[in-house]
Amino acid sequence: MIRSVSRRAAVLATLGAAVLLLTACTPDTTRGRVEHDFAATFSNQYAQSLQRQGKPATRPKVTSTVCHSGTNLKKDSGPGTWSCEIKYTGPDGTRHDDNWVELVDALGCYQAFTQDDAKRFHKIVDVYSHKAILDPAGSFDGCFDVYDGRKNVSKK
Amino acid sequence: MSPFAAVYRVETRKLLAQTRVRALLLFLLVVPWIYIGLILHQDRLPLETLYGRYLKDTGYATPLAILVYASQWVLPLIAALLAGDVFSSEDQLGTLKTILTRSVGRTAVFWGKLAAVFSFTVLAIVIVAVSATLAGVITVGNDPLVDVGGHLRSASSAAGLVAISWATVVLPTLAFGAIAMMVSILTRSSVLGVIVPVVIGLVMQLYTFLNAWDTVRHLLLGWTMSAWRGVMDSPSYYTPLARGLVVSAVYLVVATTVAFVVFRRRDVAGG
Amino acid sequence: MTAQTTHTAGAGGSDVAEDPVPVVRAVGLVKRYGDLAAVDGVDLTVPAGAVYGLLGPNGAGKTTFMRILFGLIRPDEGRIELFGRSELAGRVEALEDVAGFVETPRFYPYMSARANLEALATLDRRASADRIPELLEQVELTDRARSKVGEFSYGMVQRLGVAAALMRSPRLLVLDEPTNGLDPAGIRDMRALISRLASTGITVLLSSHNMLEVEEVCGHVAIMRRGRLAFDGSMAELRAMAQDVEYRLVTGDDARAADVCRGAPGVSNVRTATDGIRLDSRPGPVEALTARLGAMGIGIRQLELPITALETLFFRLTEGDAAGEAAAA
Repeated sequence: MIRSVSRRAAVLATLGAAVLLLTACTPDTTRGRVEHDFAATFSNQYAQSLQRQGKPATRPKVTSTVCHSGTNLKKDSGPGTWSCEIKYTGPDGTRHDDNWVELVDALGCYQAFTQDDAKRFHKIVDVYSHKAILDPAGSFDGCFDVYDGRKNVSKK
Repeated sequence: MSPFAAVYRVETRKLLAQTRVRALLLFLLVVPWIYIGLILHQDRLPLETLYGRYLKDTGYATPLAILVYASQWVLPLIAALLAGDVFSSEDQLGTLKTILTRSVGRTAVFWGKLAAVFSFTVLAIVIVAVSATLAGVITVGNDPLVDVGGHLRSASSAAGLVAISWATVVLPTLAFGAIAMMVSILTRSSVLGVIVPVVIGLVMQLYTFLNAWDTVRHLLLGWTMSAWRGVMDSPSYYTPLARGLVVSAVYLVVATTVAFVVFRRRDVAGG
Repeated sequence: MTAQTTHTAGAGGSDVAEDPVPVVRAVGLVKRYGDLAAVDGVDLTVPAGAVYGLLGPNGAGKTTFMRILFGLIRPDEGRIELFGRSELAGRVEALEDVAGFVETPRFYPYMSARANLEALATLDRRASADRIPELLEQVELTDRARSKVGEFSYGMVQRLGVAAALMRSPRLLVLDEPTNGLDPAGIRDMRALISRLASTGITVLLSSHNMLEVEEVCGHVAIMRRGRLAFDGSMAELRAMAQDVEYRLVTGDDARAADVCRGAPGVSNVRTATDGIRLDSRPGPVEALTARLGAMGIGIRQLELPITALETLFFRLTEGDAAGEAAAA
């Protein structure tokens, strides 16, 4: 009798834990994470692009990053295709307003590329390797931490 | 020599004597070279694969791009091929009674076999990682690598990151191996011992790409297989890896425990 | 080989050592598979130095008993002791002096004979790979040492199994139907080997379903039937129990001869068949019968013994009714 009670208790505890686990969750891919990581990585890639062209590695000043999910319009979260608009000022003071696409996978990584094909497929010559490479400021890969505690930013 | 060491020695000799094991190791040695050779001879790059866009820029992208494929299905397959019939083959050959009537008890036989299979699994991972790195560096170049945070990492730093990334998949791969061993002991079938873990890996992989509950995804071995990406970021983040390793350890311990208990208690009535 | 103390073994190993500790002692051994009791309350003692035959038809429980002895199967009830050590507790130690095989010996087919023995030597505490050439020569496999076992014939695998067993320098050699599948020359050689090993002091426990084979090499025998012992004792005791045996008689006039047989003293169960007359009797009454037939002018074309007295007894013990079991108890 004790054994059957313990067994039932164990089953109930397991089910309860399962329910808690399944219900208490923020999606991995949130607007907040996408916007934050895209902006930070874009800045770094921009500076890296300058560095590899033999210029001073200066980060652009990002004034605004707004991303929206093209796959989950209601909750604005989850993997899939995201569109991002990034406004920044270059080292020469020029203001830019670019539209980008992010293909976010379920593992918290993405491929990002500008919708301007000229910039997307633009090549630069790396002064270190002397190879012609795709300009990092036109397309790049990125990843974000799904445990960073960042909340979904639901501003429309 | 202790019974465990005796079994370990015999099992490693047996594994090396098997054509399919040697063929597998040779395959892992050669495939990275074929892969990068094909990439270099075509114009298009696999942009949908992480680090695919950098395959012609730096040799250190090769082992990382291969790691993406490996973590999806190759590593579970390797684990299943090595561990999936380490016990069931003894049932099929009838040799379990042969080894259990020598001076080694069941405990030594179990742990010796497990250690041998795990050693070969780690060896397989090392072979493919080193081969991929050499293939990339020799054919493409020993050039700096862009991390997923957008920073340029020196060649030496890149080599270290590649090594760490590959090291993170060892534990989840061994967990797949433990599952394969458990199935092999429970079913006494080499076919199931190989197929079941591969199917489990594929199902986990499929779930990973479904837009379903993320919490469940975090409890799958496939998630841990991809946690190396945090190491490649700047700043690096390790929470997915730390949690994933705990998840892997749980799979490993549970599967190994079930396998051990069943093996210890079973009657050897065949052979 | 490790010698027994004060042992002098004769033909069939009928003499036993003065060592009081039995080599094998099974007490109340039971193993069930569902409703079937494969071993059903077996009490058995194998004295040191004996060549002990475990006899029974297929499915009698001989192999299950041997698997329990080797620790491959756990009994549901009872216990088994090897050299006074309980088999279940400290199993590996209890089996240190035991070697042999159950059913067909099995090896790794993708490895050579030598590599297989080397692997087993590594797993054995006392075995040395240095003895492998000597053992291979003993079982006449020297010229096939480097061949893969997968290419071996059945008989070669059996011989390799004996070599693997001898590598452990056992005090107890357990062989499960060792002549099964061998050709006549192989059977002769295997029996000679068993006798030779027994003469060095090794206790041999072998199972068989062939009464003649057991009679030739064993000094003690236990007969199993449906998981139980139908007989357990010396070969001499078993022979003493053997009663009438079946003869086949072919004459020039079987009809008249059958009538004579029916009236002859010490002759029973007379029946005519297409291949002659079958009757149960013993050598003395049969001699008298043949003389009488001759005196009556009935010529004898053939008189033969299809099965021996022991075989007849064996069939009665393993296929007969409970009376046969009670007589053996």
